[in-house]
Formats: sequence, C-alpha cells, structure tokens
Amino acid sequence: MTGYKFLRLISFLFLFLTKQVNAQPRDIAIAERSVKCLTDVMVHDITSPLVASRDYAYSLIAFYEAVRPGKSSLKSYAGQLNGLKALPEIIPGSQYDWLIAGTTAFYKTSYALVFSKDQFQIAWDEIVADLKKRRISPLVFERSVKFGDQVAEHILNWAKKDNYIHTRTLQRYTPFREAGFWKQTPPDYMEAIEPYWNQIRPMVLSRPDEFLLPKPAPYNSEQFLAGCKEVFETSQKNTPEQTAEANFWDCNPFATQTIGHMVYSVKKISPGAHWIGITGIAIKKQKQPLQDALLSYSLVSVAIFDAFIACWDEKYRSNYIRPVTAIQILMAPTWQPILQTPPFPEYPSGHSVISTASAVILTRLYGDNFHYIDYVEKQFGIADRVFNSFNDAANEAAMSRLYGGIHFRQAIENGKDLGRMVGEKVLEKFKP
Amino acid sequence: MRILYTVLLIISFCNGKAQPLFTLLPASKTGINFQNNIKESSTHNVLKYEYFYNGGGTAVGDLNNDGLPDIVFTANMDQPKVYFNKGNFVFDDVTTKSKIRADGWKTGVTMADVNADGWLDIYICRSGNEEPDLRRNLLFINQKNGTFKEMAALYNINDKGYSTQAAFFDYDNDGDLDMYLLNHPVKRYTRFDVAYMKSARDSLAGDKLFRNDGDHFTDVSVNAGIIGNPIGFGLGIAIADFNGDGWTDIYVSNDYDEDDYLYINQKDGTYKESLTSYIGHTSKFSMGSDVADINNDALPDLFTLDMLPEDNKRQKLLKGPEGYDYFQMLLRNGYYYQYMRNMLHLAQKNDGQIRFSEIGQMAGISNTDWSWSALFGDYDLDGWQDLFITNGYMRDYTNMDFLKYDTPELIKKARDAGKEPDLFDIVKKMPSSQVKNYLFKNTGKLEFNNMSQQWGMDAASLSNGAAYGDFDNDGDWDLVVNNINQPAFIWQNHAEDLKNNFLKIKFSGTKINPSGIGTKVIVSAEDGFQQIQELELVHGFQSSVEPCLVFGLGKRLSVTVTITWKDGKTQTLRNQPVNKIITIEYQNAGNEKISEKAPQMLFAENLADSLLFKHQEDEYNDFKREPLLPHQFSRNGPALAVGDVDGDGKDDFFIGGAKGQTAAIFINQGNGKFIENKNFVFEEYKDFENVEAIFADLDNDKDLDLYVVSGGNESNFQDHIFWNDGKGNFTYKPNIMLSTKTTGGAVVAFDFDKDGDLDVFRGSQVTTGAYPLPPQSYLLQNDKGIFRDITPDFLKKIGMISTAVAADINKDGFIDLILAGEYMPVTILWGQSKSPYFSVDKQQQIAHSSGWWNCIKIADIDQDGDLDIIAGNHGLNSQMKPTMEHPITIDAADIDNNGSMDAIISYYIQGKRYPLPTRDELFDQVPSLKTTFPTYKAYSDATIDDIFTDEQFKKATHLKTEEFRSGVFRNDGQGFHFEAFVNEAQVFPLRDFLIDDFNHDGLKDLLMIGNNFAVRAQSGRYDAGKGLLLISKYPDPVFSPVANTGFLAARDARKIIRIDNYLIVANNNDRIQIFTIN
Repeated sequence: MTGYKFLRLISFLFLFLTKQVNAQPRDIAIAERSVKCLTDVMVHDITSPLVASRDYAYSLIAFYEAVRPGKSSLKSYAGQLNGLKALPEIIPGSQYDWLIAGTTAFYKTSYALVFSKDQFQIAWDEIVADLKKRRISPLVFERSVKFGDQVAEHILNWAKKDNYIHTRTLQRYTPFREAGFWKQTPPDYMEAIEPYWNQIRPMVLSRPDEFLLPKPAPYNSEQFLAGCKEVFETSQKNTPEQTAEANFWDCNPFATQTIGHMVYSVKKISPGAHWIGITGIAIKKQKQPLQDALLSYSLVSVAIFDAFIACWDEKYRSNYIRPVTAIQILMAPTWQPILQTPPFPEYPSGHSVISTASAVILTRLYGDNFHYIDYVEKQFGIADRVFNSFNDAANEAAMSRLYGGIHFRQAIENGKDLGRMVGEKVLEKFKP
Repeated sequence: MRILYTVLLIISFCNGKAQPLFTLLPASKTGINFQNNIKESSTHNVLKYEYFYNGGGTAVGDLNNDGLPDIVFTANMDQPKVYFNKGNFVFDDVTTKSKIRADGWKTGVTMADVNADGWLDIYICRSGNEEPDLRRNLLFINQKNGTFKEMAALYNINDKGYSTQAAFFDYDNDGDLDMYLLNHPVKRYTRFDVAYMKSARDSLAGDKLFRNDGDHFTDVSVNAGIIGNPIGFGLGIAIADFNGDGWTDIYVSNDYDEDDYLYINQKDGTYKESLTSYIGHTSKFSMGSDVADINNDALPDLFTLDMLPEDNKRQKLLKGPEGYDYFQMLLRNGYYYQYMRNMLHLAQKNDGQIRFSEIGQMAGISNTDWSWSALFGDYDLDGWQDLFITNGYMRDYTNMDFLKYDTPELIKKARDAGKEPDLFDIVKKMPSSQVKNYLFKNTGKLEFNNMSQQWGMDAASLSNGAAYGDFDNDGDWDLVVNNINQPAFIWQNHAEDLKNNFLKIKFSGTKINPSGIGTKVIVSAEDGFQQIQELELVHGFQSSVEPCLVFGLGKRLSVTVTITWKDGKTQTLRNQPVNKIITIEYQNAGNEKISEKAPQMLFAENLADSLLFKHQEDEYNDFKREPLLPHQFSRNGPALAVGDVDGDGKDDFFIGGAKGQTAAIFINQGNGKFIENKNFVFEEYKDFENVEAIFADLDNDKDLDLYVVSGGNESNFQDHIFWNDGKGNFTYKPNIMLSTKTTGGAVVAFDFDKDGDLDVFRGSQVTTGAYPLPPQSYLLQNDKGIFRDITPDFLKKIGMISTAVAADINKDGFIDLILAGEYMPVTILWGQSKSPYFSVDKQQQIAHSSGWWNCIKIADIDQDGDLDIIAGNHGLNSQMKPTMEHPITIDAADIDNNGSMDAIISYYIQGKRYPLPTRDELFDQVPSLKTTFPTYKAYSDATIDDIFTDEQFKKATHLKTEEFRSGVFRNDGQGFHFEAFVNEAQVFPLRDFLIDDFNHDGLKDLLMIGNNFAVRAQSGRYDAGKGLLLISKYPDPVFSPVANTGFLAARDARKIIRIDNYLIVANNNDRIQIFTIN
C-alpha cells in the first residue's frame, strides 16, 4: 500500500475534478493490466488452473462490486452467489473514483490470495504509478480507497468459508491400482492435483454434481478401444492446422522440458486465464465502460469457477485413464501425445467444460458472430488466431485436446455439455 | 590397536603442520600443462550433447618400460596429451612424437597391453555430437619406440557408439584380455513403457562385451547376456571378482532411471545380471565407482558415486528427491530401489554367499556433491584403504530456481522483446559449481574422516577423471586429476613422513597377459591384519591406474603375501620384509590350492518351513495424510509371540496379520515342524492390524491367553484378549473395560499390584494424523479378567512408545516398567506398593538417551549381578546422526491454521541446524509458506525460526533426539551408563534381538535383526541389516561381530523368537524365516 500513500501526497497537488468522459479507454487499460498482474504472478507460481480460477473469481467479483455503484442499473452478486451477503454500501451523495475503488478492492483481494506477494507488489507498483497520474481530490481518493478496502474485506471473508483451506489438509490422492483407472503420466509423473476440489463451495451451482454426466465407456470396451484408436490415429496424421490448434489451446501451466538433468518449467497460462484474456479482448473491442467491463470479467470468472468444480467432481468420480497410459499399454509402447498430459484424471475434458461455459457467458454478453483476434498466447511465442464467434473458439479449444492426444472424444463432447449447462445456470441465476 | 591408532594420529597431526600428506605440484615443476578446455558454441553445447560437461580421463602406466609410470590425458575437444615420466616428478610432453591424435569428442582412456607384447597400449573412447566416424574408438598400439599406431579397426574394436570408457580384463578365463565397452544414449526414453525399453538393444547406446580371439575381438554381447538397451546411461565400470569364485564380475553404474547392473560371471562365457540378489538399493544417478576391501575382511567392497551435496544450502537449492508416489511408480514399472547419494556396498559372506550391506551414510561418504571419480587407495599407508573423490560441474544444471523461475523468466523476456528465446543463451547464464574434491581417511571402523583440508586438498575445481600411480617410486600413491578449464592436478604423496610401512607389488604375468590383470593378492600379518587387492586397470571414472598394487602396512615389519593368478595358480611369500617394491612372476607360481576350509555354520535356514506364513501389508499410505512423517507407522508388525498354548510342554507361536489378514497360531510338533492350529476367531478380527502380542495367563486358569495389540495408523485400534480353553483353542469375549483408542506399540503383562494376577501395560506409538504428539497409553489393572484403565495422568501421554518391558531392576520387590520410543528417553518407572503403582516422582529418564528406540531387553549382560538394559535404536546409517550437542529436533504446531499438525524435523548439517524437508515437501504440508519462501534460495538458508513465528513456536510441541546408536545401558549400581555397540551393529535400525549363548562359551551373545523398508523416498529404505551375531568376550566389555554364521535375515525383519533349537524371524510384508541352531 506504500504506492497509495505516495499517491495520496501527489494528489494534493492536483485539485481537479476527474474528467469521466475521456477516462474510459484508460480505465479499461488499467483494468486489463490489473488482471494481467494477477495472471503473471499465477503463471510464475505455477498456480494450478483450479486455484487460479478461485483467485480470479474472488478478485474480479471484488473489483466488480467496488465499481458497480457507479452504474445504477447493475446488480450486486450478493444474494445471487452462494453465501455472499450484502456488500458494504457507498455513502449516498458522495463522490467516488470508481477506478480507485475497484483497483483497491482487486488489489487487496488478489494480494491476499496469491503466493508470491512481493512479486505481485512489484508489478502492481507500476499500475499505481499510472494511477498517480489521475487528478483526484484527496477526499474522493480516500473515500474510494476505503470503499475498495471494505469490499475486499467482505469478499475475503466470504472466500474464507469456501472450504479451500480445509481441502489443503486432506489425504493426498492415491491412484487406483486396477487397469482402466488414471495413473501418473509422463514425462514427470506428477501426483494428481486437487482431488477434493468438489468440496469447494460453488458460487451458483447448488451442488458439485448438479449436472451429472453419463459414465465414460468401460475400459477395454469396444467404445473405449475405438476412442484409443481415434486418438492414436489422429496423432499419426495430424494436419499442421490441427497441431497449431493443439498448441494454441495447450494452456498447461505444469509442462516441463527435459534436457539431461535439466528439467525446466515451460510456463503457460491456464485455460481459465485464456478465457479471461478473451474477455479482455471483447471488452476492448466494444470499448465498454469500466462497470460493464468488470461485469463481463467477473461473470466469466464465476462461470469458470463453477465449471471447474463440476468438472473436477466428475474427474475424481470416474478417475478415468489418460490416452497416453492406455495407448502405451494397448497399442504402441513408445507413443507420445503432442501435448504433455496434465496431472489429473481424464474425464471430462476440463478445457472443454471451461471453454464452453465461458463461451456461453460471452455469447450472451456480446452476441454470437463476434469476430475477434485472439492474441492471448502471443506472450508464449504462439501465433494469434482469428475467430468468428466465442462458440467457434470453444469448439476448437475442446477438439484441440483430441489433436493434442490428451483426451478422448467422449471427454470432449460430454465436457462441452457440462460447460453449457454450467454457463446457462450462471446466466439463469444472475441475469445480466 | 587403539594405541597404535592414536599414535598414528599424533604423528600425522604433528607432520601436518610441516607438510600435508599431499602437495600440489605446479606445472612449472612437472612440465604438465594439460587442461581440458571446454568451449561452448552453438554446435558444441549441452543442448546438442547432454554429457558435455562430463570431462576427460586420465591413464597412468609405464609406456616406455623405463620403470617410471607415464600419463595420458584425454581432452574432450582438444587433442589428447602424452607425458613421459623423467623421474623426480618431471614429465616430458611427447604427444607430437607419439603420433597419438584423436579428433572428435574424447571421453575415457585406458592403458592395457592389448596385443600382449609387454608394452602398454592406449584405448581412447569417443562420443559427442559428432559424425559416426568421428565417434569411433581408437586403439593406439605401442610401437616400442615412443610412437603409437592406431589399429582399432584391425582389432575390431573401433566401435562407433557413444562410449564412456572401456575396461580390459579376462572374462572367460582363457588367459587373454577381453573388453567391456561402456556406452550411453544421447536421447531420453524415460517416458516410454519400461519393460519394452529395458529389453531393447541399441547398437550405439548399449554397452558391449568384446571377446579377445587372438588377433581380433568379437562382439559377444548378445550371447553373453549383456544388456544393451538405449536407457543405460553408463558412467562407471567396476571390475572385480565380487563373489570370489575366480571368475571376473562387472558392476556398471547407470545414470538416471535405469538400474545399475551387477554382472555375475556364469563361467561359461556368459553373464547373469544379478543386482537384486546381491544389493538392496543403489545410487540413482550412478557415476564413477571403485572396488576395494575397506574393512580388511578379504572381501572386495563396492562404492558408487552420485550427486547429493554435503551442505544444506546446495541440498535445498538443487533438485531434490522424488516423491513417494513417483518412486513407487518406478518400482512398479520394474526399476529397482535407487536413491540420490553415494553408496558403499560392504560385502558380507554368509554360508558361501556374498551379500552387500549399503553403509555409505554411516561411513560418512554418502554426500560428496556432483562426483565423478572414486579412487580407493591406502594413501597414508596405515593399512586401511582411504578414498579420493573428484567432483564439480560446469553448469549448476539442477538449480531449482533456475529451472522453475529463471529459465521461464529468460524465455519470457526474450519473447517480450520480440525474439524466440535461444536456450543456449540461457544455458550460458547457468552458474558454475566448483566444489572441492574430497579425500577421506579410513578409520578402520567402517567410517571415513574427511581429511581434504588437513591432507592438503583444498582447491575448488571442476575435476573429472583421475588416476593414481607411484610417480616417484617411493611406495605410495600419487594422484593425477583431469580438470575442466584448469590445469591438471599432480599431487605428490608424502606418506613417507608418517613412517608407515608398505609393500608395492608388480607383476610379470603370462605370455598373453603380461601385466597379470586379474591377479588377487591377500597380504596378512600375525596380528590378524589381512587385506585383499585385485589388479584391475579401470578405477574411478574414464580412467585407468598404474598396473601394480600398493599395500599400506602401518608399523608391521613382516607380512605374508598370498597371490592367486587368474588361472588359479598360487604363490605364498612368508616373512616378506616391508618397504620393498617386489615383482611377482607367474613362472614361479605353483598349483597349490589356498586352503580355505568351509567353516561350520552356527545357523541354517529351513527354507521350506519359512513358507508357513507370509505377512501381507494393506495398501494404506501414511504419507498421503502426513507427507513429512519420517516413516510409516501403518507398517509395523507382524506381532510374534511364543508360548505353550496346548500344554504339551513345547512352545508354540502366534503370528499376527496386517489389516485384512488373518493371524495364525502354529503348534510345535517337536521336530522343528510347526502346524497351524486353525482358530476361526482370528478370521473374525482380521481387520485389526496385529502389531504386538503376548501369551499370558490373564485369567489364572493355568493356560496361556493371548493379548493382541492393534496398530496401523488409520483406524481400528481396539486391542483384543483371546481366551485359551487349555488346548490351544481361542475365543473372544468383549471386555467392556478394555478400550484402546490409539495405535499400539508395545505390551507387557506383569503383576504390578501384587495381587497374584497379571496386569497389563499397553504402550501406544503414534497419534494418528498428529505426529509427534504423544498418544494415550494404558495401564490396565486385572480384576478377575476384567481390565480397568487406571493409567495415572503422567503416564497417559508419556511419549511415542515402541517398546515396554517389566523387571525388578532395583530388586525392591516391586516390578519396574521400562519404556522407550521415538523422541523419547529410555524411561524407568519404579514400581510402588500401592496405587497408583507408578508416579511421576518415581520416574527416571536416563539422561541424553532420547532416541528412536525400537526394542529393549533386560538382562545381566555383563554378569556383574545386576540388571542392564539392552536397547535397539535407529542406528547411524542415516543422513541424521544426532548427538547430545547436535540433537534432532521436531517442532510441531498448526502453522497455517488449517487444522492439520505441521511437524518439522530439523537436524544439524555441518554444525548448524536446518529443517529436513525440501521446499517442495514443506509446501505440500504447509502451502501458506509459499509466500514466506518465494524462491529456493530464500529457503536454502532457512532455519526453524523462519518457518514458525515466535508466537507459533512458543505454542508448539518440541521434542528432541540425542542418540541413534544401539547399545547397552550398563547398570553399575549407581546408575546407567550407555555403551554403544560396535559400528557393525549400527548400520541398521535394530528391531529385535535374542540374548543367548549361541557359541557355547558360557557367555551371553546377542543375535540381532532389523531394517525398515517403510520409509520416505527421501531417506531410502534401511536394508543394510542382514542379521548379526555379536559375541561376548568376557571380561572385555565389547561385543564383537561374527561373520559367516549362516544367519541371513535380510528382509524387513521386525521380531525374533527362539523355540527349542529353532529361531523364528517375523518380517514385515514378507514371509517368516525359520532357522535351525546347529
């Protein structure tokens, strides 16, 4: 908070009123940078996609709730999301700077949730430096910061009761010995992550298994073998386009590269982070005001949060085998998928669930046939891709898991169903 | 002996001031200016070839037959260099004249008389990111005029594989020298199906065996049973007759996942890979190796190197051990037990069979960082083989911050600047880790002392291949070391200052093996001294040593030398004077067999009877709940109890099952045969893990009832009493007063209230989910078969008890209770006449005795009329070696307030106390600490004070352990004085023992068993215990180990009992063993 103290001093020098009209593009830029600040530290920490979805959701809801009073037509999440009680209110008739209130709430919430706090602070200080350039009266500034603080505190108290802390203490996962169940996968044979994520309180869903998927094909059944064959054969004749799609949607924060004793991390953002990034692209393209932008960010993050819970509930119900394990046993002992298999059971495909749920939200907010260029993966040296709708993108993301050799088709198709149901439930509960 | 040793120490100390044992000679003196220059470029770097920093080799031998050993160095990138010894440590660079040239990437070098003309030839291995023809190995045949001619193709050993080193020795006992070629892959296949990869054969990556067929060699790898798969990253080769059958065996060190190989010669031109029959576990990233008789028992011992650092900082910064699951998966996929540290495999002969006990940690030579060459030699000539180790790595490759944070950051920076990252640029930013080489003195007690500094080796370097030779012909080993980007080291040995005696032996062998390779020599003396050495060329890493032997003799003036040539011919030199350089000639050898009469075995295993019962553990894994536990408490047992259950005058036994397994009673048939007496009641209670049991007449009806303690670390902790009908048939009736709610560890039945019936103390071992908080133990008073819990408060949570015995130690008529356990001192509760029978003011904790105790027995072991306490502890063969000054501590509190107990073990590393867990392990238990330690570096200096806040620390539970040694608490009438057993008895956790006179000399001996396989992957399983007999030599208070008794208890042995002339050993998760006492 040292940055803010300095800002407070500086702001005495500029006793001008803020010019709201021209502020929007810059506000959006600050909001986008705030999100990136959180994304970067999570990538650095190799934060799992699950924990990332939690960090995003609470931070972005806090951001939204702290800017929301700036547009009276917007609803609060209180009463809509499980366990979230009425938020602190603004002082009627007083002036607020919503960007200050919002970034304060976001910063405080994120800071509490991330691990590498120093790193987060260093990046955040750069945002603070730009916020300093705003001309705000000290009174408004302090009032806005205070409101942001109150919102953050409220959200963090809510977060505390989501059972996350308790799930850190539970017994680590033991893979089932029997054939057909998930086993640790090459190259690093990491332990399965977050086996108890279905114990996390959902935000919208009444329970993690509200939408129960059909059981995956039994191991060694005809359907199962056909699924293996499809993954194997696809890998043999992948087109460059399919390979590009697989790499574009890889979104694996756990991947490693091995050269002798040197096993270094190849860091990428998680699937959730990718869709948060797409949300940012849509916001920018529409030149939305701050409040609407945060509604988009937060609503997508809520959908992703619940989608992961529903998805993980099924993953550790079916404990299903990964293609690499099955194909090496049944078909080709040296077969390797294009992508590294992430460390958790196969069914359903998390990316399919998350992408579809996000696309459902974004389609409602921005309409179908929304043309955009996705440059989210550019930072990892991966070329941009162009999409004509969010649903196109979600379908591609889902299928890319087959091309990448890390999922069977049934996990993709059923994963998309689950994502759609979760997304629609979110929209049904919180009508934007 | 002890006096002599002290004198030696004083002498070496005094001399140490004037001149250390070794002095480094400058190039200006020696004329040797060789250095292995590694210049990284875009085509030549570690990304193109992963063994880019492994360095070069060194070979020592007399190339020009002038009586002085010469030196050849290989440089990876530059030309090899040849130096002729001119005497007085002056060398001539004769490289150009020698016509030895080798382009490409050179690795190992060996001198051997390949064409048997009496002149040493030179074989150079090649590898690297080069064209196949530039990888062909080279054989330079000595032209006897200072020049050499490359003739590898002619001899058919111009292999174009990726070679590390070649060894020449006679594998088929046909008299000539064959060649084992150690190769390595350049690709990684660890992601693939293991069985498939293991059985594959790769002509470039796989090892090969070439048979000498006179004028050429023939690749016999396939028929000889040599594994040639593409996953064996061969880095070390040790040649020796490990099992003493006269046929040469091979030990191959493999880097990474692939197991090491122990090839036992089948005497028919084939080898059988037999690692698992001889060795319990190996180094993981096995590197160089050596063989020597380190304990002077005339058996060759084996040592392999790895990369575990000595200091805390580097242990925490560099890549740590694998997790439990990953390790288990490797095992399931067919890999063996491999751990990242140096391994010292001590050979033990038992009934003709060799078994190795791995004792590297106790010996103090397990952690020497990224190590390449190991050379055993008696450098101070005191009669014990010392150890020299080279190490260092040009890029700190496994620095976790670099791998996890810096590299991704560098990649990101490059991309942010619009460039694709060049990994080579990143590699160039890796720091170099120059580490000092190690020089250890063998103390003669299975321990080595680090003498690097005192003996003059104090320079940091990147050292790889090394060799010894006696360059000044003064009878001690000088050392030569090949360094990266730094001049080679020539170390002159000044052992003569110590006034120790030596015998240096050269050989004049057969026509086709003139150097006498494979000859074995035993030097012995009247004081019992004996040491075996075998003449082999390849030792350490990528190098070969001078083909002669040096025996250090201390102050001995005359010795007996017994020579066994490769074809079995022998020679014995009696009253051989010392301080001589002698040449043994084959032509003088005779056919006399060295008489070695097979000793009478004291014990013999009855293999068929051992199939009676196999203990079967359930799958529960404690580490899933408490990842920082040192070992699994769910894998205790089986219970083993002895008693005559059917009243026929012969003892029978009970053995417990693990959870899900039915216990059994076996009835003694009188002839060493035992037959199970089915008791269906055990089937009913099989879901309780039976960890302890006793037979005792608990209802005073003159038969033995059975008290069974329930353990495991999960649930079902209720103990059971099974009542005997007098004929050995047991029934259960619920005893509502008996309610045990914690994991049991011990039980003892005794009449503490003196009312004529047997009462019970049930000691508990661990609080499930909250290690190390003391669990509730129970003092149970027998009231006509009903057991009432009358446990006094102080006794309820007295500690984590693993053993309890009752005896009237102070002979006051009241039975005392003696307890011990984990983080618990040996504690005596003095019995009292009335309730509460035991009280806190009548409790004696033996000072500084807190240990990880497993078992206790009470006996008058010194036969002085009072009772002593004999106690089994964790032993010293572990990374942690607590003492009074440097205890192990454990601090436990819920650091992150998430409802789980965070128990952090700390121990002293190089004089300072550090937490045991790695950063990743710690985060698994306490995720919130990720914020406290954002980098590996931040954690690398952390102590317990950085993990706990002051406030947390104040509230935490603190326990300590000051003693890991097993031994005797000798009662001298005033108190107890601890006398530790000899080191042979400290190499394994002592789990149980018998006190008896096994050698019929009227004195009490100790027959010991122990091990522990249920441990974290980090510490590795404790499997050095093979069963040990210690005999008393009254009035000498020291118990002495006896080898070759026929008692081989090498499994996860937990309990031993004696019935008549039979021993029964109960093993965890394994079959029982029954031995006959001969």
